[in-house]
Amino acid sequence: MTGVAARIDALRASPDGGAELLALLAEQSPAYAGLGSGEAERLRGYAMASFETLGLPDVALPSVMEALETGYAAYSLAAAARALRGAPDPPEDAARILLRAVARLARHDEVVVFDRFDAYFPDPAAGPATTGLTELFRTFAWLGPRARSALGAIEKMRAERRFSPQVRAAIDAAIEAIAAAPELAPSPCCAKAAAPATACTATLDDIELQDQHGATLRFAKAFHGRPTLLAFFYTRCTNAQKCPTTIARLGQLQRLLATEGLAHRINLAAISYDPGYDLPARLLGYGQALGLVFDARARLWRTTGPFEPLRAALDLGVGYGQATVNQHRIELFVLDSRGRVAEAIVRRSWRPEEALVALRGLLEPAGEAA
Amino acid sequence: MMVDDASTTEDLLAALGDTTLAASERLDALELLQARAFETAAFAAHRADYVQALRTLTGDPDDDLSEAALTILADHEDPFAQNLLIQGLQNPSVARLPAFLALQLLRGDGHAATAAVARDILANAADPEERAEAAHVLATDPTAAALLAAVVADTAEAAEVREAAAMSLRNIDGPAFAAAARPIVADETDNWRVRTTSKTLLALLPADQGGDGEVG
Repeated sequence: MTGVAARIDALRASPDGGAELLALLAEQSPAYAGLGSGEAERLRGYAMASFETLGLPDVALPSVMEALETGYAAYSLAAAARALRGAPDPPEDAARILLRAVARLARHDEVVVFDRFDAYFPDPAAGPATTGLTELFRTFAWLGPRARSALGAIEKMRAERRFSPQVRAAIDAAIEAIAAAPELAPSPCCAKAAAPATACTATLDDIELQDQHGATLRFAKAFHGRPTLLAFFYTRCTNAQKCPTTIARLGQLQRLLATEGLAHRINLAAISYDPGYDLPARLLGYGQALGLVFDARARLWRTTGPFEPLRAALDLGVGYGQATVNQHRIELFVLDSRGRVAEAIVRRSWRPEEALVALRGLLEPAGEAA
Repeated sequence: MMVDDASTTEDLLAALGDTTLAASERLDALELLQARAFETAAFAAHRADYVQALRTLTGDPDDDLSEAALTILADHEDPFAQNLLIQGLQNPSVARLPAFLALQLLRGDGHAATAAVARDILANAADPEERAEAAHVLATDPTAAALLAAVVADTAEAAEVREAAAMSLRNIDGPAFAAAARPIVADETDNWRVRTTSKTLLALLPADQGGDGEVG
């Protein structure tokens, strides 16, 4: 681990280090293999924070926003907040996402240092200590007029006792920076373009899957004949913004499809990243607890063999520690009725309604579905 | 400096880090801070400083203070504390806590990098208490099924280690557990504790996994 940190230090100092640092934002990077989740998240955060000074390329922005949108740890949130300050053109919803990050971190802030890796233990001699919340508010200040929508909420926070003196000073600075800047004209563009869809060229058809009741099917048999929303998750995921939300939204989409009379024409599926542990009984309990009603069109799956062929075919953003997943991104795929990837939604939260639109576009005229 | 219920949180944090005070007084400060930390909203403004003070305290020369700090942090799955514990398991000369206790503190977090060292301890350590805790850690490691099955079946192994291995194996691989447990239950000469545990776990295991499916 310290070897990777030393490499990051060297890359930070190199004018050509950006590309290699970018590769370290991928959860599946070999640099994180075998590490615990905390270690992997911290090391990735150390790499991510480098983009504050190197400049954040557009291609890295989804990773940064996903970390802000789903992170809980002070270190990773602070790292993403710093990286965002390297963006030439931050997304319009950055202030809203930062506000939600503040709410998640408010009760378990920690001291963090980014000038040196210092595994876990910020050494005061290594550089100025800051905290996760302080970094989030510094990013509000950096956003300036682009954070005007959050100004009222931040002003209310100033009066609250839950923040330390250091954080309150950062709040004051943020308010001053936002209020002092002239208001920006509204952007003609409503949102950033979505991340490009992942093109799947490798064949998935022969991969054997097992569902929550123990039934086994090949990928082709499971997903050919109808459009499919295919998500990825694992039952041991401890991040409430990721896997539990993914499966709960699958349940919401299921109810939406029923309302639209489309439940029998679309597959809803999620495959576990952790097939060795997510045995059928665990899939069953997990889905039921999160509101998914199992039937022939809605199932949770695990691979019966190695997960790697599936990971490689879809270029999934998942890395592994010693006994389970150590980090992963949000990722789901809209498959056409031949099981090919038509659209990928990665590194951002999604709504059942947008998935419905994508799926509806792949439907054949009524009566032609298998 | 006297610390008591009336002390401010800032004073308690200062007392905790003041190495000129008696250890007993610093322990009192720690106890009061722990009580306040339970009120998560009210304590939020002090949380970062408190965690930092605890991390510093893990290196304190007073064993009671350093162990208390390490235990509190590990209970919260603090990565710094977990790293110290794992280092101690890999190299006993730097261990801050006995191995069995370190394993107990780590076993609640399936995402910690504990599986490799737990497999090594279960396969090679001498102390049964330590090895039983290692077997418990492996309850979240599907790759440990073969090792656990071998321990369960080994009649020369300490009963507490076999029981722990049986519970973990049942969690990660029901059919493998059933295959290991049935001969034990049938063998009246085998250890009664291991037989009882095996029989109970078989009763809790669904029939489609090779269990008796009496419950669940």
